[in-house]
Amino acid sequence: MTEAELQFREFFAAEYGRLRGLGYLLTSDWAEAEELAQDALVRTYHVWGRVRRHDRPGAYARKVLVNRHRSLLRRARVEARHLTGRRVEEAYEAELGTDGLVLWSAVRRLPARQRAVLVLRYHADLPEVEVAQLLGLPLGTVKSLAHRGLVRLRGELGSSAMEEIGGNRR
Amino acid sequence: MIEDRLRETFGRVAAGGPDEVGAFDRFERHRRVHRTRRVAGVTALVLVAAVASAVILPASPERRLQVTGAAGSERWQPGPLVATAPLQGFEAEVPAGWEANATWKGIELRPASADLRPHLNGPVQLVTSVLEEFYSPAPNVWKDGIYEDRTRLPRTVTRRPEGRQSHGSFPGDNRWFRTDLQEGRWRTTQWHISWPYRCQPGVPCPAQLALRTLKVVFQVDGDAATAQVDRLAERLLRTARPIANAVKGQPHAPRPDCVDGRSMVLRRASGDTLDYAGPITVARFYWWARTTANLVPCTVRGPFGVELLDGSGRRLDVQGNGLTVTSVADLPEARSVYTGAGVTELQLKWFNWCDEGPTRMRWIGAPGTGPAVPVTAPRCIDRSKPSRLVVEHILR
Repeated sequence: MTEAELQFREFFAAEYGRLRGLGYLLTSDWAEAEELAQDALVRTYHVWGRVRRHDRPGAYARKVLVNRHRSLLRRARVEARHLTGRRVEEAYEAELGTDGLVLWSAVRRLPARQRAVLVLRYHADLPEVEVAQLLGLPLGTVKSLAHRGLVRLRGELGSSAMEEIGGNRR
Repeated sequence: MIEDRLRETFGRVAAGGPDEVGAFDRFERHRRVHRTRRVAGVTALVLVAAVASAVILPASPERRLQVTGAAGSERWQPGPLVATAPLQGFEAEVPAGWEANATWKGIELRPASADLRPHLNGPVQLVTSVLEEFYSPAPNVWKDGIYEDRTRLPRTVTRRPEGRQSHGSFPGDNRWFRTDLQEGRWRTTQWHISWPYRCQPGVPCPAQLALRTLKVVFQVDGDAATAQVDRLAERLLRTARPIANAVKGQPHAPRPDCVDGRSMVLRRASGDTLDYAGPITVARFYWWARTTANLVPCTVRGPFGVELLDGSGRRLDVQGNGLTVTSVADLPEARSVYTGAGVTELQLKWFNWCDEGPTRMRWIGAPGTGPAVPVTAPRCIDRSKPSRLVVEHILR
């Protein structure tokens, strides 16, 4: 095994979990998340000779993952899944606790771009400028999406219960 | 602050999930598949160029691109027995020397001869299945336009095959896809042809049902036995005829109730309570039923419901407490924007609980009434209004 391959193995061990987690936050599907992470790592592997000299090779893989996700969205193959409220096979949410489960359900109902902005902003802790570059959006749009996403989360979590108490079934 | 809660929730969600064991092995496989696709892409370009040149060059009008598989062209005289699987939408002629039985997912065949039996690990099964689009034997399965959209089936339903892959065509351009996986003594073979699902008129039809296949699967050892069972499998696939839900415009066979663990997977979960700043609180309860990889048609039938109890097991004074829903949906047609194709969901919500004391909940209905377990009650919003348990939605 060459030195580059050894380095890639270490890189894989360090980054795989993070990438898969990010993929899950974007898609709500562990299988899809794994595929995105694997795909990002395969593509990173193909240019490893160049990428391994970067300061943050993980950022490169993350960019590949986000781009891949965007491209799938464009093909409308993942967007339907973004609307997925809850899926049968996701047995991992029980560990989220009381509020987390409901908040996560609400996040999954957000439109794809709002959700991607919130995930990159509050999970990957990227500044808005970097989120804008990563998603290929103007900075103002990213700010607006983040704001609208948070407003919508607060609003959506509250409104339906009020209607029910008032006796208005949807 | 909702931002802090988001960070915390994202962190927990991203840290969860299935084991990462074997991730690097899967990476190696993924890399090989990626390489194969790139090679396939280049090959396709070369083929397109070859076809184009054949069309463009008038000097060689006889040149044709001929795609053939490994399957032979042996002719077969059908036996007297026709095995029919109307729920699965096919019938097949069973050759002499084989016995056939109907199962809940299709037909299984066993050799009449004692010589072959030791070389087969279980029966040869002829069943319906579903492959991911990438592996679908029929290209452009959606082109006839009878399907509404391409809403995906859950990953747990669609199949990504393992083992050595091959593909080809039977006479009449009936394409097949096959995998062979050697594990110890046994070689597992799965051989698919496309077998689209035709929904009944007026029923919204998830496009993914077009990815249904008719599959022969068997485990065999020894070259002679392998050759013999291979011939059977090929004959079954070459002679299978579509009926009922596999034929556009034909009525479907009567649909039985879904059976958990066979034609459906049934799950339930409580979503606990939201407790953000502000007075809104709701407790949620979910039932889900999804089709399985055989896409066997069935009706999801309850009762499905929830009973709310106090600490000593008495029913709480909640409007709608103990309500149940009986008929929910048909699988595999069920789908919604929330659950995707092949899944139906029932959600119940509980509001406005203004009493004190411990609260419990118990599931009512299949797969059996569960034990009473503690549940966080929703917050009191208005004492003048009753507490209510309502069916939020049934998604089809």
